[in-house]
Amino acid sequence: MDADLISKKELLELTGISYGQLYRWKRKNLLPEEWFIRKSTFTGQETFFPRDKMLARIERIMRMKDDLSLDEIADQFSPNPDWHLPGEELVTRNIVTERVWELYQRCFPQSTSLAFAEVLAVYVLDQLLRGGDVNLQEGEMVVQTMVAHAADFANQPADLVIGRKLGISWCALVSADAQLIFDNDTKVILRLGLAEYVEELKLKVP
Amino acid sequence: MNEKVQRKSNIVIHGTGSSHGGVVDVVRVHGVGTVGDDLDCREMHVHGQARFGGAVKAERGKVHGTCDVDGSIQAEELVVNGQITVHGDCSAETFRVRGAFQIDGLLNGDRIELTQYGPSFAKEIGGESITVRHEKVFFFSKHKSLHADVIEGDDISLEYTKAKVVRGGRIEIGRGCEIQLVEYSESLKQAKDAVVVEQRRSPLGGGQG
Repeated sequence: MDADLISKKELLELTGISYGQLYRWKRKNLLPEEWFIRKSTFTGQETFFPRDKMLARIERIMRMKDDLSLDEIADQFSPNPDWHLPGEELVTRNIVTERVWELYQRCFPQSTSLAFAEVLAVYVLDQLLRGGDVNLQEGEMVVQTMVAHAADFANQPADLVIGRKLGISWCALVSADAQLIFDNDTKVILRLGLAEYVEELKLKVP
Repeated sequence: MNEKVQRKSNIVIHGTGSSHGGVVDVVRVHGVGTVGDDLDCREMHVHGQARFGGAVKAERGKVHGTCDVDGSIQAEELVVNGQITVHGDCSAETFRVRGAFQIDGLLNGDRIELTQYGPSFAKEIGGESITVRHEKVFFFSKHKSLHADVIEGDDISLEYTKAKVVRGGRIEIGRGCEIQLVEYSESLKQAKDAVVVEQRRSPLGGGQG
Protein backbone atom coordinates (compact mmCIF):
# COMPACT_ATOMS: atom_id res chain seq x y z
CA MET A 1 0.00 0.00 0.00
CA ASP A 2 1.04 3.60 -0.56
CA ALA A 3 3.59 4.66 2.04
CA ASP A 4 2.19 8.16 2.52
CA LEU A 5 -1.34 6.92 3.14
CA ILE A 6 -2.65 5.49 6.38
CA SER A 7 -5.70 3.28 6.66
CA LYS A 8 -8.46 4.19 9.05
CA LYS A 9 -7.86 1.11 11.17
CA GLU A 10 -4.14 1.77 11.43
CA LEU A 11 -4.83 5.38 12.33
CA LEU A 12 -7.12 4.41 15.19
CA GLU A 13 -4.61 1.89 16.49
CA LEU A 14 -1.75 4.36 16.26
CA THR A 15 -3.48 7.32 17.87
CA GLY A 16 -5.82 5.53 20.25
CA ILE A 17 -8.86 7.52 19.17
CA SER A 18 -12.21 5.80 18.69
CA TYR A 19 -14.55 5.58 15.72
CA GLY A 20 -16.92 7.84 17.60
CA GLN A 21 -14.29 10.56 17.90
CA LEU A 22 -13.21 10.25 14.29
CA TYR A 23 -16.74 10.55 12.97
CA ARG A 24 -17.56 13.37 15.40
CA TRP A 25 -14.53 15.35 14.26
CA LYS A 26 -15.49 14.77 10.68
CA ARG A 27 -19.02 15.99 11.38
CA LYS A 28 -17.67 19.11 13.03
CA ASN A 29 -15.39 19.81 10.06
CA LEU A 30 -12.20 19.31 12.02
CA LEU A 31 -11.07 16.90 9.33
CA PRO A 32 -11.42 18.06 5.75
CA GLU A 33 -13.53 15.96 3.44
CA GLU A 34 -10.79 15.67 0.82
CA TRP A 35 -8.57 13.77 3.24
CA PHE A 36 -11.01 10.85 3.22
CA ILE A 37 -9.70 8.78 0.34
CA ARG A 38 -11.79 5.76 -0.49
CA LYS A 39 -10.09 2.81 -2.07
CA SER A 40 -11.17 -0.69 -2.90
CA THR A 41 -9.24 -3.36 -1.09
CA PHE A 42 -9.79 -7.08 -0.85
CA THR A 43 -12.23 -6.54 2.01
CA GLY A 44 -14.24 -4.04 0.00
CA GLN A 45 -14.16 -0.30 0.47
CA GLU A 46 -11.66 1.12 2.91
CA THR A 47 -10.85 4.68 3.83
CA PHE A 48 -7.33 6.06 3.79
CA PHE A 49 -5.85 9.38 4.85
CA PRO A 50 -2.74 11.33 3.92
CA ARG A 51 -0.51 10.00 6.69
CA ASP A 52 1.55 13.00 7.79
CA LYS A 53 -1.22 15.58 7.56
CA MET A 54 -3.68 13.37 9.38
CA LEU A 55 -1.34 12.43 12.21
CA ALA A 56 -0.32 16.07 12.70
CA ARG A 57 -3.94 17.18 12.69
CA ILE A 58 -5.03 14.53 15.21
CA GLU A 59 -2.16 15.50 17.49
CA ARG A 60 -3.22 19.14 17.37
CA ILE A 61 -6.85 18.30 18.05
CA MET A 62 -5.86 16.13 21.00
CA ARG A 63 -3.77 18.98 22.42
CA MET A 64 -6.55 21.54 22.01
CA LYS A 65 -9.62 19.53 22.87
CA ASP A 66 -9.33 19.94 26.65
CA ASP A 67 -9.32 23.73 26.44
CA LEU A 68 -11.50 24.50 23.45
CA SER A 69 -14.89 23.36 22.23
CA LEU A 70 -15.03 21.42 18.99
CA ASP A 71 -16.57 24.41 17.24
CA GLU A 72 -13.72 26.63 18.37
CA ILE A 73 -11.20 24.09 17.15
CA ALA A 74 -13.03 23.85 13.84
CA ASP A 75 -12.71 27.61 13.53
CA GLN A 76 -8.94 27.27 13.97
CA PHE A 77 -8.78 24.93 11.01
CA SER A 78 -11.33 26.71 8.87
CA PRO A 79 -9.68 28.28 5.83
CA ASN A 80 -11.80 31.41 6.01
CA PRO A 81 -12.77 32.91 9.37
CA ASP A 82 -14.61 36.17 9.75
CA TRP A 83 -12.08 38.91 10.43
CA HIS A 84 -11.78 42.68 10.26
CA LEU A 85 -8.37 43.81 11.43
CA PRO A 86 -7.10 47.35 11.24
CA GLY A 87 -3.97 47.22 9.11
CA GLU A 88 -1.73 49.08 11.54
CA GLU A 89 -2.37 46.40 14.09
CA LEU A 90 -0.54 43.92 11.91
CA VAL A 91 2.58 46.00 12.31
CA THR A 92 2.21 46.76 16.01
CA ARG A 93 1.62 43.09 16.74
CA ASN A 94 4.69 42.12 14.76
CA ILE A 95 2.77 39.98 12.32
CA VAL A 96 4.28 41.77 9.35
CA THR A 97 7.07 44.33 9.06
CA GLU A 98 6.32 47.96 8.42
CA ARG A 99 7.91 47.90 4.97
CA VAL A 100 5.65 45.10 3.84
CA TRP A 101 2.60 46.91 5.14
CA GLU A 102 3.63 50.02 3.18
CA LEU A 103 4.06 47.92 0.09
CA TYR A 104 0.62 46.49 0.58
CA GLN A 105 -0.89 49.94 1.04
CA ARG A 106 0.68 50.97 -2.24
CA CYS A 107 -1.17 48.13 -3.96
CA PHE A 108 -4.45 48.74 -2.13
CA PRO A 109 -4.44 52.36 -0.96
CA GLN A 110 -8.02 52.45 0.25
CA SER A 111 -7.95 49.38 2.48
CA THR A 112 -7.71 50.07 6.19
CA SER A 113 -9.63 47.22 7.78
CA LEU A 114 -8.53 43.87 6.47
CA ALA A 115 -10.58 40.74 6.02
CA PHE A 116 -8.95 37.40 6.64
CA ALA A 117 -7.93 36.79 3.03
CA GLU A 118 -6.19 40.15 2.90
CA VAL A 119 -4.36 39.57 6.16
CA LEU A 120 -3.26 36.23 4.79
CA ALA A 121 -1.98 37.87 1.62
CA VAL A 122 0.10 40.40 3.57
CA TYR A 123 1.38 37.70 5.85
CA VAL A 124 2.42 35.45 2.98
CA LEU A 125 4.07 38.42 1.28
CA ASP A 126 6.01 39.16 4.44
CA GLN A 127 7.19 35.58 4.73
CA LEU A 128 8.13 35.43 1.05
CA LEU A 129 10.19 38.59 1.18
CA ARG A 130 11.89 37.45 4.37
CA GLY A 131 12.71 34.17 2.73
CA GLY A 132 14.41 36.07 -0.07
CA ASP A 133 13.04 33.90 -2.83
CA VAL A 134 11.00 36.60 -4.49
CA ASN A 135 11.64 40.24 -5.24
CA LEU A 136 9.36 43.19 -4.60
CA GLN A 137 7.67 43.11 -7.97
CA GLU A 138 6.87 39.46 -7.67
CA GLY A 139 5.61 40.05 -4.17
CA GLU A 140 3.22 42.69 -5.41
CA MET A 141 1.97 40.31 -8.05
CA VAL A 142 1.38 37.62 -5.42
CA VAL A 143 -0.63 39.97 -3.22
CA GLN A 144 -2.73 41.21 -6.11
CA THR A 145 -3.52 37.65 -7.13
CA MET A 146 -4.32 36.43 -3.65
CA VAL A 147 -6.64 39.30 -2.85
CA ALA A 148 -8.39 39.25 -6.21
CA HIS A 149 -9.07 35.54 -6.09
CA ALA A 150 -9.64 35.07 -2.36
CA ALA A 151 -13.27 34.15 -2.90
CA ASP A 152 -12.38 31.32 -5.26
CA PHE A 153 -10.39 29.60 -2.56
CA ALA A 154 -12.44 30.60 0.45
CA ASN A 155 -13.51 27.09 1.28
CA GLN A 156 -10.79 24.88 -0.07
CA PRO A 157 -7.10 24.64 0.58
CA ALA A 158 -4.88 26.23 -2.04
CA ASP A 159 -1.22 26.21 -3.00
CA LEU A 160 0.63 29.25 -4.20
CA VAL A 161 3.06 28.59 -7.06
CA ILE A 162 5.63 31.10 -8.20
CA GLY A 163 7.78 30.52 -11.25
CA ARG A 164 9.79 32.18 -13.97
CA LYS A 165 10.02 31.61 -17.66
CA LEU A 166 12.61 33.36 -19.80
CA GLY A 167 13.02 36.13 -17.27
CA ILE A 168 9.34 36.76 -16.75
CA SER A 169 7.87 35.80 -13.43
CA TRP A 170 4.38 34.54 -12.85
CA CYS A 171 2.36 33.21 -9.98
CA ALA A 172 -0.66 30.96 -9.70
CA LEU A 173 -3.11 29.69 -7.12
CA VAL A 174 -3.96 26.04 -7.54
CA SER A 175 -5.96 23.54 -5.51
CA ALA A 176 -3.81 21.89 -2.89
CA ASP A 177 -2.19 18.68 -4.06
CA ALA A 178 -2.95 19.38 -7.71
CA GLN A 179 -0.27 18.02 -9.98
CA LEU A 180 1.30 20.57 -12.31
CA ILE A 181 3.51 19.86 -15.27
CA PHE A 182 5.39 22.60 -17.08
CA ASP A 183 7.46 22.93 -20.22
CA ASN A 184 11.24 22.78 -19.96
CA ASP A 185 11.85 26.53 -19.99
CA THR A 186 9.63 27.12 -17.00
CA LYS A 187 11.25 27.05 -13.63
CA VAL A 188 9.11 26.80 -10.52
CA ILE A 189 10.73 28.84 -7.78
CA LEU A 190 8.50 27.75 -4.97
CA ARG A 191 5.24 26.13 -4.12
CA LEU A 192 3.62 26.86 -0.77
CA GLY A 193 0.66 25.24 0.91
CA LEU A 194 -1.40 28.18 2.08
CA ALA A 195 -3.13 26.03 4.69
CA GLU A 196 0.02 26.11 6.83
CA TYR A 197 0.11 29.88 6.71
CA VAL A 198 -3.54 30.01 7.62
CA GLU A 199 -2.87 27.99 10.73
CA GLU A 200 0.24 29.95 11.66
CA LEU A 201 -1.65 33.16 11.26
CA LYS A 202 -4.48 31.99 13.47
CA LEU A 203 -2.06 31.22 16.24
CA LYS A 204 -0.64 34.73 16.02
CA VAL A 205 -3.99 36.49 15.93
CA PRO A 206 -6.23 35.10 18.64
CA MET B 1 -21.00 28.09 11.83
CA ASN B 2 -22.61 31.48 11.17
CA GLU B 3 -23.53 32.21 14.75
CA LYS B 4 -25.65 35.30 14.78
CA VAL B 5 -27.58 35.04 11.58
CA GLN B 6 -30.84 36.92 11.72
CA ARG B 7 -33.57 34.33 11.50
CA LYS B 8 -36.69 36.36 11.08
CA SER B 9 -38.88 34.55 8.60
CA ASN B 10 -40.54 31.17 8.71
CA ILE B 11 -41.64 28.84 5.97
CA VAL B 12 -45.10 27.48 6.63
CA ILE B 13 -46.91 25.25 4.17
CA HIS B 14 -50.37 23.97 5.05
CA GLY B 15 -51.97 21.96 2.33
CA THR B 16 -49.95 21.95 -0.85
CA GLY B 17 -47.28 24.47 -1.62
CA SER B 18 -43.72 25.27 -2.45
CA SER B 19 -41.16 27.76 -1.30
CA HIS B 20 -37.59 28.90 -1.77
CA GLY B 21 -35.03 27.94 0.81
CA GLY B 22 -32.69 30.39 2.50
CA VAL B 23 -31.92 31.18 6.11
CA VAL B 24 -35.07 30.95 8.20
CA ASP B 25 -36.18 30.21 11.72
CA VAL B 26 -38.80 27.49 11.46
CA VAL B 27 -39.91 25.37 8.54
CA ARG B 28 -43.29 23.73 8.95
CA VAL B 29 -44.91 21.52 6.35
CA HIS B 30 -48.36 20.12 7.08
CA GLY B 31 -49.45 18.41 3.93
CA VAL B 32 -47.31 18.29 0.82
CA GLY B 33 -44.53 20.79 0.46
CA THR B 34 -41.48 21.48 -1.66
CA VAL B 35 -38.60 23.71 -0.65
CA GLY B 36 -36.62 24.69 -3.70
CA ASP B 37 -32.98 25.20 -2.85
CA ASP B 38 -30.52 25.17 0.06
CA LEU B 39 -32.12 25.63 3.44
CA ASP B 40 -30.63 26.69 6.75
CA CYS B 41 -33.14 26.62 9.57
CA ARG B 42 -33.38 26.25 13.32
CA GLU B 43 -36.32 23.91 13.40
CA MET B 44 -37.85 21.75 10.73
CA HIS B 45 -41.21 19.99 11.12
CA VAL B 46 -42.71 17.81 8.47
CA HIS B 47 -46.14 16.27 8.89
CA GLY B 48 -46.99 14.64 5.63
CA GLN B 49 -44.64 14.82 2.74
CA ALA B 50 -41.79 17.19 2.03
CA ARG B 51 -39.12 17.50 -0.58
CA PHE B 52 -36.01 19.62 -0.21
CA GLY B 53 -34.26 20.51 -3.46
CA GLY B 54 -30.88 21.36 -1.94
CA ALA B 55 -28.80 20.87 1.15
CA VAL B 56 -30.56 21.16 4.50
CA LYS B 57 -29.08 22.43 7.74
CA ALA B 58 -31.21 22.38 10.86
CA GLU B 59 -30.72 22.38 14.57
CA ARG B 60 -33.67 20.10 15.16
CA GLY B 61 -35.65 18.20 12.59
CA LYS B 62 -38.78 16.15 13.00
CA VAL B 63 -40.46 14.18 10.26
CA HIS B 64 -43.78 12.41 10.53
CA GLY B 65 -44.35 11.02 7.09
CA THR B 66 -41.85 11.13 4.28
CA CYS B 67 -39.04 13.50 3.54
CA ASP B 68 -36.78 13.66 0.46
CA VAL B 69 -33.56 15.63 0.51
CA ASP B 70 -31.72 16.11 -2.77
CA GLY B 71 -28.51 17.33 -1.15
CA SER B 72 -26.99 16.52 2.20
CA ILE B 73 -28.65 17.04 5.53
CA GLN B 74 -26.97 18.20 8.71
CA ALA B 75 -28.73 18.51 12.06
CA GLU B 76 -28.15 18.37 15.77
CA GLU B 77 -31.12 16.11 16.26
CA LEU B 78 -33.12 14.41 13.57
CA VAL B 79 -36.14 12.31 14.46
CA VAL B 80 -38.07 10.51 11.75
CA ASN B 81 -41.27 8.54 12.11
CA GLY B 82 -41.73 7.31 8.60
CA GLN B 83 -39.27 7.50 5.79
CA ILE B 84 -36.36 9.74 4.90
CA THR B 85 -34.41 9.74 1.64
CA VAL B 86 -31.13 11.62 1.40
CA HIS B 87 -29.16 11.79 -1.84
CA GLY B 88 -26.02 13.15 -0.19
CA ASP B 89 -24.63 12.59 3.31
CA CYS B 90 -26.64 12.69 6.49
CA SER B 91 -25.04 13.86 9.70
CA ALA B 92 -26.65 14.43 13.07
CA GLU B 93 -25.60 14.17 16.68
CA THR B 94 -28.75 12.16 17.34
CA PHE B 95 -30.43 10.36 14.47
CA ARG B 96 -33.52 8.39 15.45
CA VAL B 97 -35.68 6.68 12.86
CA ARG B 98 -38.78 4.53 13.28
CA GLY B 99 -39.48 3.42 9.78
CA ALA B 100 -36.87 3.43 7.06
CA PHE B 101 -34.14 5.50 5.47
CA GLN B 102 -32.36 5.62 2.13
CA ILE B 103 -29.04 7.43 2.32
CA ASP B 104 -26.83 7.43 -0.75
CA GLY B 105 -23.76 8.72 1.07
CA LEU B 106 -22.49 8.52 4.62
CA LEU B 107 -24.75 8.42 7.65
CA ASN B 108 -22.68 10.02 10.40
CA GLY B 109 -24.00 10.41 13.94
CA ASP B 110 -23.11 10.21 17.57
CA ARG B 111 -26.16 8.13 18.36
CA ILE B 112 -27.86 6.36 15.51
CA GLU B 113 -31.02 4.41 16.29
CA LEU B 114 -33.12 2.67 13.70
CA THR B 115 -36.28 0.72 14.39
CA GLN B 116 -37.07 -0.95 11.12
CA TYR B 117 -40.46 -0.89 9.49
CA GLY B 118 -39.26 -1.42 5.95
CA PRO B 119 -36.09 -1.78 3.91
CA SER B 120 -33.38 0.76 4.62
CA PHE B 121 -30.11 1.54 2.90
CA ALA B 122 -27.01 3.58 3.61
CA LYS B 123 -23.70 3.34 1.80
CA GLU B 124 -21.71 3.89 4.97
CA ILE B 125 -22.70 4.31 8.59
CA GLY B 126 -20.32 5.69 11.18
CA GLY B 127 -20.57 7.02 14.70
CA GLU B 128 -20.26 6.28 18.35
CA SER B 129 -23.28 4.10 19.05
CA ILE B 130 -25.32 2.46 16.33
CA THR B 131 -28.42 0.47 17.21
CA VAL B 132 -30.66 -1.27 14.71
CA ARG B 133 -33.81 -2.99 15.98
CA HIS B 134 -36.61 -4.87 14.37
CA GLU B 135 -39.71 -4.65 16.45
CA LYS B 136 -42.23 -6.96 14.87
CA VAL B 137 -40.65 -9.96 13.27
CA PHE B 138 -42.69 -11.34 10.40
CA PHE B 139 -42.07 -14.10 7.99
CA PHE B 140 -40.67 -11.59 5.50
CA SER B 141 -38.52 -9.71 7.97
CA LYS B 142 -35.35 -10.59 6.11
CA HIS B 143 -36.54 -8.72 3.06
CA LYS B 144 -37.10 -5.61 5.08
CA SER B 145 -33.60 -5.46 6.47
CA LEU B 146 -31.06 -2.68 6.50
CA HIS B 147 -28.36 -2.83 3.82
CA ALA B 148 -25.05 -1.06 4.18
CA ASP B 149 -21.56 -1.42 2.76
CA VAL B 150 -19.66 -0.44 5.87
CA ILE B 151 -20.80 0.09 9.46
CA GLU B 152 -18.25 1.51 11.90
CA GLY B 153 -18.74 2.55 15.52
CA ASP B 154 -17.65 2.07 19.10
CA ASP B 155 -20.86 0.33 20.19
CA ILE B 156 -22.78 -1.47 17.48
CA SER B 157 -25.86 -3.57 17.99
CA LEU B 158 -27.63 -4.88 14.91
CA GLU B 159 -30.70 -6.88 13.97
CA TYR B 160 -31.79 -7.82 10.48
CA THR B 161 -28.87 -6.11 8.84
CA LYS B 162 -26.92 -7.03 5.74
CA ALA B 163 -23.47 -5.48 5.52
CA LYS B 164 -20.13 -6.15 3.89
CA VAL B 165 -18.01 -4.92 6.77
CA VAL B 166 -18.81 -4.12 10.40
CA ARG B 167 -15.93 -2.65 12.42
CA GLY B 168 -15.91 -1.43 15.96
CA GLY B 169 -15.23 -1.88 19.64
CA ARG B 170 -18.18 -3.75 21.17
CA ILE B 171 -20.31 -5.44 18.56
CA GLU B 172 -23.54 -7.40 18.84
CA ILE B 173 -24.74 -9.18 15.74
CA GLY B 174 -28.36 -10.04 16.43
CA ARG B 175 -31.01 -12.15 14.74
CA GLY B 176 -31.44 -12.04 11.02
CA CYS B 177 -28.06 -10.47 10.24
CA GLU B 178 -25.80 -11.35 7.34
CA ILE B 179 -22.35 -9.84 7.65
CA GLN B 180 -19.39 -10.64 5.43
CA LEU B 181 -16.64 -9.43 7.75
CA VAL B 182 -16.69 -8.34 11.37
CA GLU B 183 -13.62 -6.68 12.88
CA TYR B 184 -13.84 -5.93 16.58
CA SER B 185 -11.42 -4.74 19.23
CA GLU B 186 -13.22 -5.55 22.48
CA SER B 187 -16.14 -7.93 22.25
CA LEU B 188 -18.37 -9.71 19.77
CA LYS B 189 -21.71 -11.32 20.51
CA GLN B 190 -23.53 -13.23 17.84
CA ALA B 191 -27.09 -14.54 17.74
CA LYS B 192 -27.66 -18.15 16.75
CA ASP B 193 -29.29 -17.46 13.42
CA ALA B 194 -26.95 -14.63 12.44
CA VAL B 195 -24.48 -15.25 9.64
CA VAL B 196 -20.96 -13.88 9.96
CA VAL B 197 -18.74 -15.14 7.16
CA GLU B 198 -15.47 -13.94 8.63
CA GLN B 199 -14.54 -12.42 11.95
CA ARG B 200 -11.29 -10.94 13.19
CA ARG B 201 -10.18 -9.43 16.40
CA SER B 202 -7.91 -6.48 15.76
CA PRO B 203 -6.12 -5.58 18.97
CA LEU B 204 -5.80 -1.88 19.64
CA GLY B 205 -2.22 -0.68 19.52
CA GLY B 206 -0.87 -3.73 17.74
CA GLY B 207 -0.38 -2.89 14.10
CA GLN B 208 -0.72 -5.70 11.62
CA GLY B 209 0.29 -3.95 8.42
